[in-house]
Amino acid sequence: MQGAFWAAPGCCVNLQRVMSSRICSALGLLVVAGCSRDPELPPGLDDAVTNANTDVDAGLLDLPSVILGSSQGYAPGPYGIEDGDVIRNVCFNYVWPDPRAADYDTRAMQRTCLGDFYDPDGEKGIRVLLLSTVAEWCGACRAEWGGGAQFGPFSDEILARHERGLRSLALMYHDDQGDPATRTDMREWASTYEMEVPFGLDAEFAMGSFSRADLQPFNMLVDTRTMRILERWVGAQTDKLFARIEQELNPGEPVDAGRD
Amino acid sequence: MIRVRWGLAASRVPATGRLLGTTLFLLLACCGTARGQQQAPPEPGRVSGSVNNFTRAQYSVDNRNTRVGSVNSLSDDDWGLIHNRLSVQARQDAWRVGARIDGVWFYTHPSSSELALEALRLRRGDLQPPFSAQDTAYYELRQQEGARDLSTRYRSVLYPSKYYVGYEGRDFDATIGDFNAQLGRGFVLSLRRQDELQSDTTLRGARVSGTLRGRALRLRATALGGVLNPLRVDAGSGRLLSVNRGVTPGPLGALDWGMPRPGQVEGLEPAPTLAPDRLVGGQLEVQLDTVTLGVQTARVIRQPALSPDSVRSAKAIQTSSASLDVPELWRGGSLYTEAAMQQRQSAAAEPTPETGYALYAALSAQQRPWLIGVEFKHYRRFFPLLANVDAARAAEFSTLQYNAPPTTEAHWVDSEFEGHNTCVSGGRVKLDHTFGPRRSAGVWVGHYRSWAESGSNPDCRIGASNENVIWDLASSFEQTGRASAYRHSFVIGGRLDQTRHSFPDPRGGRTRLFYGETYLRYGVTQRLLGQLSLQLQGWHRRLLQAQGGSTGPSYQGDHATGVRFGQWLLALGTQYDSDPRTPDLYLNGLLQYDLDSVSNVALFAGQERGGLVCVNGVCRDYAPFEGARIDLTLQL
Repeated sequence: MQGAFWAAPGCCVNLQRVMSSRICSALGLLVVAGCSRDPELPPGLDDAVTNANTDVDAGLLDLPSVILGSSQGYAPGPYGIEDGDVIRNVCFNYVWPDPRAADYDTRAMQRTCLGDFYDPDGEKGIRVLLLSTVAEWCGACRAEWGGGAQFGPFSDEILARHERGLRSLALMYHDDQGDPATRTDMREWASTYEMEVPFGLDAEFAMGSFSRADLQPFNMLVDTRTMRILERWVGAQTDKLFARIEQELNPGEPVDAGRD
Repeated sequence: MIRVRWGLAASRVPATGRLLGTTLFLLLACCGTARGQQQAPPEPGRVSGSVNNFTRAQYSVDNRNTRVGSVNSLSDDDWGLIHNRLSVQARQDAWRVGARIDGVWFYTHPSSSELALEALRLRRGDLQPPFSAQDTAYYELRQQEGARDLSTRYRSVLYPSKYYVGYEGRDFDATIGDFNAQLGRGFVLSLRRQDELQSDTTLRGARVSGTLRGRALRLRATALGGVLNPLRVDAGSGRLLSVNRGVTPGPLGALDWGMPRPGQVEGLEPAPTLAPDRLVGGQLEVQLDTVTLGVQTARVIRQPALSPDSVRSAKAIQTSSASLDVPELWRGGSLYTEAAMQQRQSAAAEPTPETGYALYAALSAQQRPWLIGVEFKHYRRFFPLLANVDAARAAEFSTLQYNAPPTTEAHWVDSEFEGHNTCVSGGRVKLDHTFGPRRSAGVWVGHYRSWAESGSNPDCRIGASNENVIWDLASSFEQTGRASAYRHSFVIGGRLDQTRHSFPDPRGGRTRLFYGETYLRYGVTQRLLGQLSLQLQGWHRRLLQAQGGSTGPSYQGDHATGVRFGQWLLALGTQYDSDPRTPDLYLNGLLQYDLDSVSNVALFAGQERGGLVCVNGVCRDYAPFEGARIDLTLQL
């Protein structure tokens, strides 16, 4: 079992094989595979995970932006990161449910977990979850959230589909310098685009398991009945994205995602 | 197309150094001492051949692009490769046969554990215990990200990249295997080797051409079909394009025999990063005197998209065009025009996109000492034929495409953002004046309106809300000496790209300035004494980009100085960038010894700035490089 934040069914981390640092033992292995350097883990790093506790009461400001969520009451695993896999429950500690309604006050941020969107029976009225990453340096992200010819501002497009079961969680991970985003960066972004949909901080770039930090925009659709990953888009693919959303919200009907 | 920082057009750090370096390299090699190997035509029946071998040994160190939390900015550090490319060709009369074997051995590279530990060290400042649960969670996140990245990178391979057998007669030729192809001026199909972009996509299949000749009439027909075959390894980044049985069903599997396969890395399920596209097409040309009428068509047949977008998600794309070429239009003039249509066939349950079209014309007229050239384009929903690659896992190949619609702009332009060239109208007028036989000066004015540059607009909806208005102006001067004793060229210009509507300015308020640039390009070649010659080459820019660029204007530049003496070449390069997101200065040097006119050994050491390199609208994003490499080029 590999140590994997999103895919590990449990809390334990396999110890990595210890190899002599940069010398491969077999010439044949060297010729065929090259020499991958596997360092020895520092003492204590592998043990720390056994003390993982998602109920740490350390005060909101002391928490990292993302922590593992509980699997109780959540879609059963195994969990993965590819299309068709069940996405693991992860909690983001700094999320605005509605930035504009909160007047962009960071004190109104709260913890939101992917499990909050899990709706196997349809009781919550949720059909699909859109996970969207945002970086301040990303011009195409700005175009997405600002709106264009075919689609209005992202926030408006998402809200327009709320009644039919679309939910979203946008996550900022980089500032305009490519450094981890802060809540101040989030406030600037949210106020610029007058966001009214959930917006959270992912300073640890937990979403890096699905995409790359330098490839944006990134959007991922999750079936909230099973928490399975439906599809992912890298780049400005607004038309394809909303066509698929429409397909999920109106199964069996012809798709016409763009506005008139 | 996708890439960093600005959806399509990538980082605003054009890798002009690479283009300059390559140009300097080739020019000096060209103009230096050349003991030419003029080969006489082979005797009938005699077999002639050549063997070309290129070997590169390289080690890359930290390229100073590290970002906290970004595994990709760590995985391109501290790795090395030995890359060998062996090409063998033989010819007997009209028959020719050839093959190329590519081998890459990554003798060292980071592991996902190493990447995760380094990412953790950057976050914490050290790797001293105790470690918290958050540290462990962070380590796991980065390790998984690293494993995902390495699953398509640094995998040693040996594979037959190209092979062919062909017959080349006067009026008939046929090729089975790999071949380059261009139909028209690039709208329908353009498969050419482009060294500046490290690209050499061929069609692996069959091509037949036949010509009927009359007194003043010539008729030529071409049919081709096969599987599109890009290079599978990007030696600059170590990234791999791999296939498996799932994307090479039936006969496709035979054509992809020996090609790199995905490997399993640390528990991740191997998945392909390329789903090969198939293509059938043809061309009919009728030439009457010097006028040529052409009709060309190509159909790209696709598999389910590895990265869904407007182009890759199509089941099939049919592109056709008609062209008129009049190379001698009254005295010294010429005319070329082409009209193309493009239909994307969607998967079931998806609406059929509207048909796209493209109109292009290039006209030149000469009345000494004046020469005027006009290029015009009018494109609606006309897309680049992007290869079906997994753009998230093999981003270095995300701009791979099979056609090249003309841009009408200078070949180096890298500021056509997003889908600029898919929904655009405009053109360029160029006026040159010659002062004597070896001196000329010119100006050009380009004006364009694009509706797919400041936002995604695959349907090409025309409106003020998504319109960009672009002006591109420049003036040039060039002179050459007798017997090529010297050559001096200068271009100074600017580009202004504004939207019709205002949009939020990241620096505050609102703005309509989308992109602005002023620049200076120069090339000076000067023979000094005997075999000693000097070359200077540079490109200096002031950029301002409202979305995706640095806050405020930035300055970028490249300068290279080369000295050739006989068979020796020494070149020193400097690059700078005031963008706070990148290092300020890059230095590099090249030392080359020519064994003969085609064989040489070259040592490069230093730093190269990364970024976008574009050649006639086809672009490639390069990661920065720091390290050393030695190249050996041999031709026997």
